[in-house]
Amino acid sequence: MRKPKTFGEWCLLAGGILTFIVLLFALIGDLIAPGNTTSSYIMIDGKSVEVPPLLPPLSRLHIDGRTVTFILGTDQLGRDVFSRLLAGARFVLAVAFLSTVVSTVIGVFLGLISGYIGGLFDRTLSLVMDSLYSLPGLIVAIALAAFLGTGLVNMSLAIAVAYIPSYFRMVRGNVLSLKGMPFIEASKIAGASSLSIALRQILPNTFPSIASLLPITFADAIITEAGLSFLGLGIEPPTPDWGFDLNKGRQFFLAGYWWIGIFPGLAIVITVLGFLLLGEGLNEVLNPKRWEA
Amino acid sequence: MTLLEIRNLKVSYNTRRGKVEALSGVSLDVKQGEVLGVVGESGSGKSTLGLAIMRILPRYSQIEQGEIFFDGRDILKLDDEELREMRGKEVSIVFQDPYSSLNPVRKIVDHFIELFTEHGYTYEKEEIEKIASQLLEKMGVPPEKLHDYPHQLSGGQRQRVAIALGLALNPKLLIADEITTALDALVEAQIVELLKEIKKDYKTSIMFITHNMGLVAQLADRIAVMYAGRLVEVGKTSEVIEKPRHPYTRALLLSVPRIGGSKALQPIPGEPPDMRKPPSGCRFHPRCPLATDLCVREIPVLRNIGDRYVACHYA
Amino acid sequence: MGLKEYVISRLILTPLMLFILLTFVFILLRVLPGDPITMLEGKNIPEDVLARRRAELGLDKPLYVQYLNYLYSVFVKLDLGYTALERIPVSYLIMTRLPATIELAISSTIIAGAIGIVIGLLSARYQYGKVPYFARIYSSIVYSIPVFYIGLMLQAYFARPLGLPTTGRLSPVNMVLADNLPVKTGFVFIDALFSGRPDILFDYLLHLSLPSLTLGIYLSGVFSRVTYLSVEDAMSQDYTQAARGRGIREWTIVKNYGLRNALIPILTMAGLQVAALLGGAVLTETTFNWDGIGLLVYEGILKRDYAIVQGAVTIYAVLVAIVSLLVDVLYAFVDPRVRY
Repeated sequence: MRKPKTFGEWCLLAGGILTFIVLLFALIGDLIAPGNTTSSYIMIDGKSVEVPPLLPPLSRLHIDGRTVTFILGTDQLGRDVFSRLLAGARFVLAVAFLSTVVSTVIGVFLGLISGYIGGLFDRTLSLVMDSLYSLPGLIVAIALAAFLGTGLVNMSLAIAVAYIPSYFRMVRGNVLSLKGMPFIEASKIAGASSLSIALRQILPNTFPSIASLLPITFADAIITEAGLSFLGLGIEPPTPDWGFDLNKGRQFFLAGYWWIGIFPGLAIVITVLGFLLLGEGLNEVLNPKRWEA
Repeated sequence: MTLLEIRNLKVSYNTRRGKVEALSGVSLDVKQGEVLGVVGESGSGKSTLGLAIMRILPRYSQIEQGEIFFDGRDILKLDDEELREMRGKEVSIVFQDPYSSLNPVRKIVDHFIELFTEHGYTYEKEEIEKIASQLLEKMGVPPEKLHDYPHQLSGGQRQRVAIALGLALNPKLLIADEITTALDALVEAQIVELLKEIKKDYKTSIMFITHNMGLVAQLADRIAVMYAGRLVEVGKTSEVIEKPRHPYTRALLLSVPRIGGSKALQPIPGEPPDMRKPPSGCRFHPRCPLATDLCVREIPVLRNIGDRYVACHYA
Repeated sequence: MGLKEYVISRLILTPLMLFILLTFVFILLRVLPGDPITMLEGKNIPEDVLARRRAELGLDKPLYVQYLNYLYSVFVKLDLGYTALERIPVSYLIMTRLPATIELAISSTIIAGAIGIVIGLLSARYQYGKVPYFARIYSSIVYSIPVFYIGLMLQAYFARPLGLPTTGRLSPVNMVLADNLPVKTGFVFIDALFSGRPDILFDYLLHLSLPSLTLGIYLSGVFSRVTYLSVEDAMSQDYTQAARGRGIREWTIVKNYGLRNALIPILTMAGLQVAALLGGAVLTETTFNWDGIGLLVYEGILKRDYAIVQGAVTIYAVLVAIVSLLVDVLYAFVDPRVRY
C-alpha cells in the first residue's frame, strides 16, 4: 500500500485506522477488561467480590494474590468504566448499524421508485420527505423514541426515520438525472422492462453516492443515539451506553470524579471522527471533483 | 513600434498523468495598432499564450523559460501588485465563454464601477455610468442594460459587455481568446465587425486567438499559425492565405468551408498529438504529406523567408 | 416574476408545508405502534385510570377524528393541551419558555456564523495553501463532538477557572428582579436593556456566554464546512479568472465573487441548520439548565408528560416552517436570478 497522496486519502487512512481500533476494542475488549459492566461485583476464582465505587483510573484491586486493574476507574456504582465503554461500544455500534441499514434500504427504495415513476406520486412523496427532512433529526428521534419505547430495536427505528429523507433525496436526485441519459433510452428501445431498468441500470449508478453517504449517516446516528440516551430515552438503566453514562458522569464531574463522564465522551468523539474521516475520504475517492488539468 | 515581444516562451502544465509542455519555445511580436491572428487547433497552445501574457496561468502550470516584453518592460519580472495594475489597464483579455465571465450576482454597471475603483480611479458613480453607457452603445448594447443582471442579457450581449470592460481603461493590447467560438454565426460576424471598428477608432492592438481561419482572414493584419505548442508560420494575412508555405497552414486553408464553394472539404488526416508525448522532430510529421526522416529527426527552426517566417524543412 | 410575486408565492406555500409537518407530528406521535399512555404512565397503573387518561387526551376516538381534532386545536384554538400533573396549558408553558430558546438561538447563530465565515473566507483567500486542510479538520472534529460534551468541557475547564456561571439564565437574585421589571417581553436582553438595568443585563450576558458558545461551536462545524465548500466552488468559477484578468485585487475577488456567490448555498444550509439548532438546543439547554423549550422537552420526558412533548414538537414544526419561509424570501434578495 502506498503512502497517501491527497487529503482524501489521508482521511481514508486515518478514518480507517480509528474505526478499526474502535471495532477491535468492541469485539475483543472483554478479554482485557474486568468485565463488571452492570454490576458492582466481579468474579475472581468463582468468588464474588464487591468493587468500590468511584475509583480513579489505573486503580488496582488486590484480592487473593490476584490483581485486577481498573484502567479507567469505576463509576458511582462500582462498575468498571472501561468495561462499560466496551459494552457501550457494542450497543452503540449495533444501534447505528441497524438504523443505517433501515434508513438506507427504505430511503433508497423510496427514492428509486419515486424518482423513476415521477408524476403526482413523486411530487407528493418529495414534499413529505422535504418536510421530514426539515425537522431536526434529534426531535424526530425523540418523538419516536418516546413512544416506541426502550431497547435496541426501538431506538434504531426511531433514529432511522430521521435519515430516510437524506437517502431519498440523494437517490431521487440521481435517478432524475440518470433517467434522461441516452443509455436508459437505449435500454427502453431494446425492450427492457421498467423494473429491470430501474434495478439493473439505474440503481448501480447510484451506489457511489450512497456509499459516500453511508459513513456519514453512521457517524450521525451515533451522535443522535448519544443525544437520545443523554436525555434518558431509549435505554433501560443498567444497559451500558456512552450518552447515558456521560449524563450520569456530569453530576460527578464537578465533584472531582472526572473519569466517569470524560471517557464515554472521548469514545463518542473518536468513533464518530473515525467514521466521518472515512466518509470524507471515500467521498473524494468515489466522486473526485477537483482534478488538475 | 513593437508593443509585445515574446522570446522563446516555454510553458508547461502539471497534470495527474504527467507534465505537459503547452508552449515549446514560442517567439512572437505584436506591433502597435495591428491585429495579430493566432490560429491553431485545440491543444496548439494558443490559449496558453494569451494566459501567459496576462500572467494568469493556472496554479498547476509554470513558465519554464523565455521572456515577454510588453511596452518595453519585462513582465516576467514584475511583482504581483505591478501585474495587477497592468491587467485590465494596459493589457486586457476576453474569454471564450460569455456565460461565465461576468459576476451573476452583480449588475453590469457594478462591473464597471469595480473596474475603475480597483484601478485607483476616483470618478463618481454617475461619471462611470456615463462612460460605461457610451461604451456599451459603441459595442452595440442598449445602454439600459447597464442596470440589468448578466443572466438577463443574451450571449452576444454578454460578450460585448466583456469586450467593453476590456476596453474601458484604454489598454494598448486586447487579447481575444476564442471570443466568438460559443456564439452563432450571425453574432460572430457582428463581433468581428466590432473589432474592426475598435482597431480603427481606438488604435488598440488586438491578439485574436481562434481556430477559425475564415475569421482571421477578415480581421487580422498578420497571422501566426501554431501547432502542438510551436509556431509554424507567421506572415502578412493576405500573403499567407494566398501562398501558404507550411504544409499545416495549407491544410488548414483547405479545410475551411466556403459558402458557395464547390470544392469538397479536405480534413487534415490524423489527430492532434498527445501533448504528454509529442512527436519527435517536427511535431506535424505524422500528418504531413511531405514528411521525411529529417522531419522525424530534426526540429525545424522558424526561419525567415522574405517577411515570412516558416518552420519547415521543406518550405 | 418580481420580488413581490415571489414573496407571495412563498407565503402561500408555507401553510401547506406547516400542514404537512403537523400531519407528520401527528403520525409520529399517534399512529405508531406502542401505546403512548402505557409508555408514559408506566406499567403498573390500573386499567381504568389509563382508560380515563386516554379519554382525556382523546385517544379513544377513531384516528381521523383525533387528527382533525389535533389540527383544529393547533390552528384554530392554538391549544396544545394541558400538562398531566399541574394542568397548566401547554401553550402557556411554551410561550413563556420560547424567548429563552430564541435568545440562545440568535446568539449561537451569530457565533457560529462568525467562525464559519472567517474560516470560509480564509480558506478562499489562501485556497492553495494549508488553510483549507485545517478548515476541514476543524469542521470534522467539531462535528464529532456531541454538543453536550462541548458544554461539559466548557463548564469544567473554562467556566470554573474563570468564575463564570454554569447554569441558568440569571443568578437567583436577578431572576426575581427580572420578573418585576417595567419592561417585560420575556426576552431578558430586551427587558434589562430597556428598563435601565445594566447590572442584570451584564449578569445575563455572563450566563448566556457559555451555552451560546457551546451551541455556536457545535454549529460552526457544519457552518464552516459549507462556507468553505461554497466559497471554494465559487472561486473556481470562470468569473473569478475573468476578474483577475481585469486586475481586480484578490481580496476583492474573494468578497465580491467568492463569498457573494457562495451566499446562495450558504443560505440554504443556514436554513437547514435551524433544524440542527433546535435539536442541539434541547441538549444544550439540558446541559446548562437553560430555561427554554429544549429544557421543557427534557422535563417532559422525565415526567413522562405526553402533552408537553407533543406540544414542543408541534412548536418546532411551526418554527421550522417559519424559518423556511424567511430563508426563501432572503433568497430573493441574494440571488437575482430568482427575482427576474
